[in-house]
Amino acid sequence: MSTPKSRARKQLTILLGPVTLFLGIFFAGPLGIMLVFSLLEPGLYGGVEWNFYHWNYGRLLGWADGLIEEFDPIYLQVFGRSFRLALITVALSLIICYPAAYWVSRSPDKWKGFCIFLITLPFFASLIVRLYAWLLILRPTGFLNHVLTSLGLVAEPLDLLFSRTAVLIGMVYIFVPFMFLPIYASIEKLDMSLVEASKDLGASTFQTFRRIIVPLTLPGIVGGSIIVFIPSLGNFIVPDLLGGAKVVMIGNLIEQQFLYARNWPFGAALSMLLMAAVLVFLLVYITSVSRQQASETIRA
Amino acid sequence: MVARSAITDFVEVRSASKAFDTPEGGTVQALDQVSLSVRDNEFLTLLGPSGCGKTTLLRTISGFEQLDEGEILIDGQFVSNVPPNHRPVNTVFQNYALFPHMSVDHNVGYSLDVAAVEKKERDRRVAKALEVVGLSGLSQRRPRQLSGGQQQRVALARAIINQPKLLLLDEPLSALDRNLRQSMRLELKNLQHELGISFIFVTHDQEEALTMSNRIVVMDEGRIQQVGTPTEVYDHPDNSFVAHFLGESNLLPGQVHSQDHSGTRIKTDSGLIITVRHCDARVGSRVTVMIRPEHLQLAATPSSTASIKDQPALQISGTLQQTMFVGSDFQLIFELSGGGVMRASVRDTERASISALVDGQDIKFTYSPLMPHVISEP
Repeated sequence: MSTPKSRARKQLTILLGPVTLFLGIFFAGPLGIMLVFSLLEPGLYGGVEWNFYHWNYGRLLGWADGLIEEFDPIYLQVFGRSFRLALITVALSLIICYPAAYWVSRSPDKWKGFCIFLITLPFFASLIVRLYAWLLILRPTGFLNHVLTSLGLVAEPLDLLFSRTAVLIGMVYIFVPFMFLPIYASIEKLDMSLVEASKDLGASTFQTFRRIIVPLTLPGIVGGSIIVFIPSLGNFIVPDLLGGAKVVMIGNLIEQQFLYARNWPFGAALSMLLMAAVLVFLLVYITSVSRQQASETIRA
Repeated sequence: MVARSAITDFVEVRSASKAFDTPEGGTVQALDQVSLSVRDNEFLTLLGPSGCGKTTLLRTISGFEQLDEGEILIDGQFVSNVPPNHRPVNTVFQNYALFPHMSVDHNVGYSLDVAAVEKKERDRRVAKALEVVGLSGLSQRRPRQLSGGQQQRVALARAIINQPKLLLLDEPLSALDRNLRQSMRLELKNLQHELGISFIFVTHDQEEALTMSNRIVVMDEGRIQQVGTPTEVYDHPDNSFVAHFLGESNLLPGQVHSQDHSGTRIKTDSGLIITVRHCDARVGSRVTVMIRPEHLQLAATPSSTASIKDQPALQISGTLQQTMFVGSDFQLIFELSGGGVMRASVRDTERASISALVDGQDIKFTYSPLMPHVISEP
């Protein structure tokens, strides 16, 4: 005999069991390994020695004294550079996507589907191939410079490739769809009669945007920003291909530690620090957004 | 004595036309040469079935739709190029359109906030508006924490806080349950009277229109069918559509047969002769006779014989098809011998004589010749 309570528990097990198992093995497991490795001594030829070793963090954060490991501020600078790049990527893709998503969500249904299709079209080709295409566009003899010089806008071809600008262009290009979709979803849900009510009550277009449209589409903005921010922070392919060897981001650094320097513990420590930084950053971001939203309504 | 100015027109709509594209690629004429004026301090109702253009007309006045042709004057100003936020009118939207992320206080004070009204003044006016609609004390609630009726009041308070000279109401009662709807009718009417401003009220509910309005504008297919006071449009509809849309009616097409001092006799297509006292149509012309079900009285009942004495009441007979109890009265559906079905409503007080009736039996009704209304056909 099964009581309703035990039946509910069984249902819950069936529904949540697979995902728990999957995340337990493939998410929490590797994370645990990384955490442990980041506190172990690097092996001479890769791998780890099973000794407690906090110098991996000391090397990053400054308590390494140069005897065993050496503190180098360059790592923190790379962190700062990566954060800045990720933030600019978020800002630019937001500026590009918001008006576009607004326009698409207000167009006739048959256009909406087509526009969404266009937005997702890049996913049909491999990321590497698409980035190589940008290589061809941005190089001194490439498409962009060809157009600019033949229009007489620039005398000399611009040296865009292998620069921070090229990396930024590539990043924004990759992440625009990820920003577009959540914003589109939230604007699509926006009740247009609220916009009309705002105008009816004397608000200008800008006031309506600031007081009604932005607060009500905030979930989409926050969601899109997070979805773009996190992967762009750790991205190493774009700086690799479009930045040449000149632009090192935190992602490249971690990649190098694992694949070339074969210092797994230090790579793991870098990853842990990155994760901690992202968590703190998001916590601050989300609480400040929700506080702002609350103050919007309580504001006296 | 205050010299009250003669009745003036606050809003004037002149031959307004508006067409919409349908998804199928055609167009639909939402407004077709509509001309209308709204007087000061008037409760005007736009009444019609869905898709008749009443909401479109309202939205052209509020500024959310542009006219294809024609013009609109508000307070003597042409407003074709004036955006909604600069028009001196406010709207109560069908589903209230309350801002979900703001408290009642901020919803109601919204128009003052965007106009940067000084805080003390703002708070005073918000409190006053909430008091008018009876919602003082709920100012910190969010819209979703309110009942439908309370949301309705917030929408009202928000719309009247700027003291517009004209309030537009787009089916504001349609989302409320029946009892609340009826009490809100009275409140809306009182509010309009208190504020001394004009209301344009859109509805498809004829009962609402009849009970609240100073004048009713009956619309169908983008055109105004009739404008008049509730009694005018109910008792003397200009055409069959109005007769049919407002209240129950028996519409009998026929021809004017003869005329003498006692009245006009009309022969209906089903072979019935109806006598009416007032009729302007000439002998031989095509007309439609409207007889309201409540104007038919069951023959040979005590209360109806009394009226027969005073009036040379006339008779209509048929075969009873069905008797329906609808609360305040009984609806009798009977078939005429010449074909066609009519409907009579008999008051509950005659329950005794009704319970004696059986379906399929012959039945007679009397009517006063003052009651049928003759609609001339174009």
